[in-house]
Amino acid sequence: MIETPEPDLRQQAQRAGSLTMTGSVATRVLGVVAIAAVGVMALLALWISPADAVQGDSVRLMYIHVPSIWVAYGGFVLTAFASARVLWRTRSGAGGTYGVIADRHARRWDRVAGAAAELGVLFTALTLVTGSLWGRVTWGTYWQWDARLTTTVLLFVTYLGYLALRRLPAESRARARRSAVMALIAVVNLPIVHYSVDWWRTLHQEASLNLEPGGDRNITGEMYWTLLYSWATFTVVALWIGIHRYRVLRLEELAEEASLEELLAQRRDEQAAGR
Amino acid sequence: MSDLSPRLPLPADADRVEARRELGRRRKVIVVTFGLLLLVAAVALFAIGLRDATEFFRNADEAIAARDELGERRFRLQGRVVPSSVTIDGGVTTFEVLHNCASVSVRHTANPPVLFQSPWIPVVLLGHWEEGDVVTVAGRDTHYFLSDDMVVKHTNEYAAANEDRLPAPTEAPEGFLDDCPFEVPRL
Amino acid sequence: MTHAASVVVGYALTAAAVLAYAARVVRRGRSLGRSLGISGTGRNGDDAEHGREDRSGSDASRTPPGIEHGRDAASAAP
Repeated sequence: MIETPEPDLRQQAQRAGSLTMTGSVATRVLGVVAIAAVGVMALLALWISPADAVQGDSVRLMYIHVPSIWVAYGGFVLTAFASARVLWRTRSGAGGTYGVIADRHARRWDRVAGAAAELGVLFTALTLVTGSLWGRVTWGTYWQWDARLTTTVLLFVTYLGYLALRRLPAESRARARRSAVMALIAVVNLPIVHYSVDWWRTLHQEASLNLEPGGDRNITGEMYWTLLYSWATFTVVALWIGIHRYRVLRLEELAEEASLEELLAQRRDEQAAGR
Repeated sequence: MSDLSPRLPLPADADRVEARRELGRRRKVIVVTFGLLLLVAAVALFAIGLRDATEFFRNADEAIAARDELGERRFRLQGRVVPSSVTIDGGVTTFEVLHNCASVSVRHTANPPVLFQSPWIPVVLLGHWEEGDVVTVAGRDTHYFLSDDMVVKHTNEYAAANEDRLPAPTEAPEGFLDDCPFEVPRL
Repeated sequence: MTHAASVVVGYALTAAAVLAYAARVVRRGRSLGRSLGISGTGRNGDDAEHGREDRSGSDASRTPPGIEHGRDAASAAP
């Protein structure tokens, strides 16, 4: 049986007086905040923060390279968490033995996983590209197969595979469970990427930010705060896009259901005509 | 109540239904093949990458200790460039890299990256040992390192270009030379 | 490439990629909403519910085009 559409999107759209199904008051506020934050970030990162003693201006690439991978990490952790929820809510005995996911929460978590993974892939790609540019001017090379760079590429390729798996045609429950399992396997690489610079000898420098309280700061004043601020900005931007993406996934499901209903209606008409 | 049981194709439709099913099957095959290719690519990347990656370079002291074992083999050498040792002659840059108070004389035949000019910058060189008498800050040596590829291994230390608390640009990083039984001439 | 040039290229690529992705997401949401007939004129979200049941009606009959266009432009803001 087809579930009636969840009213949340529509209500949100109504409250916002919005035409786009993916907009709401909250996302509009978030969008304005994001744009303002990006403006301030551009000022801080490109103008106010100083050049580095050794690297000169190229250090400014840090303010997009490092926040990109942090946001990607966040996305992949969220994907893993949501996937665990999907598996839990669709296990047999949880009313999940049918082809279609009956559980509303499981569907929501599945969408969260999909939206977060897509953002993770986008920001991992940006990390690789900006890192490569940064590497060219500081290391003198676009690429080296050291442990950090290799595991990061692997992370990117794995989650591309995850997104491909999500697109494989299958019944929704099977698809959701299958991709959830893959997400939980893929996330194992995350700590490997992060600690590769400590575990192995790499060309890549060690972690940029020491977040331990009282720990030594290896980044001085304005650079430190600019990096933290850029991270916050990237998070807000990612959140904003992520919420829209989540809602688009919901609409895609609705469209799928609608086309199914259409087919059923056609069958009914055919039958009525045949009688 | 409508009948929602699976519809049996009419004989005339059978071909079309079969064709559609075939299309679906083919699509599945394509996607699965694509997925498998991705997986193979990932494993290959990992294998190729990690072969180098886990032991990306040898520090200067380790490279000296393993000289017999290394022979003519190519490997990556890491150390900080001794600023007073850099000379450029034709296309060859000669300098020393220092790590754990062990110094290696290097002849580098390619263009060094821009940041090579920063004093005491750590570099990773790709090349091999060559026989030849040389004098380094640590004393005499029977081999030098012939390299044709250099990358700068910058640290995760960042400081504004004009801040006072930075060590003077030509000084070695704090503690780097503390245990060394020799003096390193200043630039 | 000089340091400044690589910084410019890096920032431009990042901005372009994020903007392109965001635009794609919003556009897809809009077109899906429209094709579902629930792109919500804001006032009469209930229509959508009816619309989904009433298969005979076209989308256009449910959402006055004038209003839709006007609001659409307004909703271009994030």
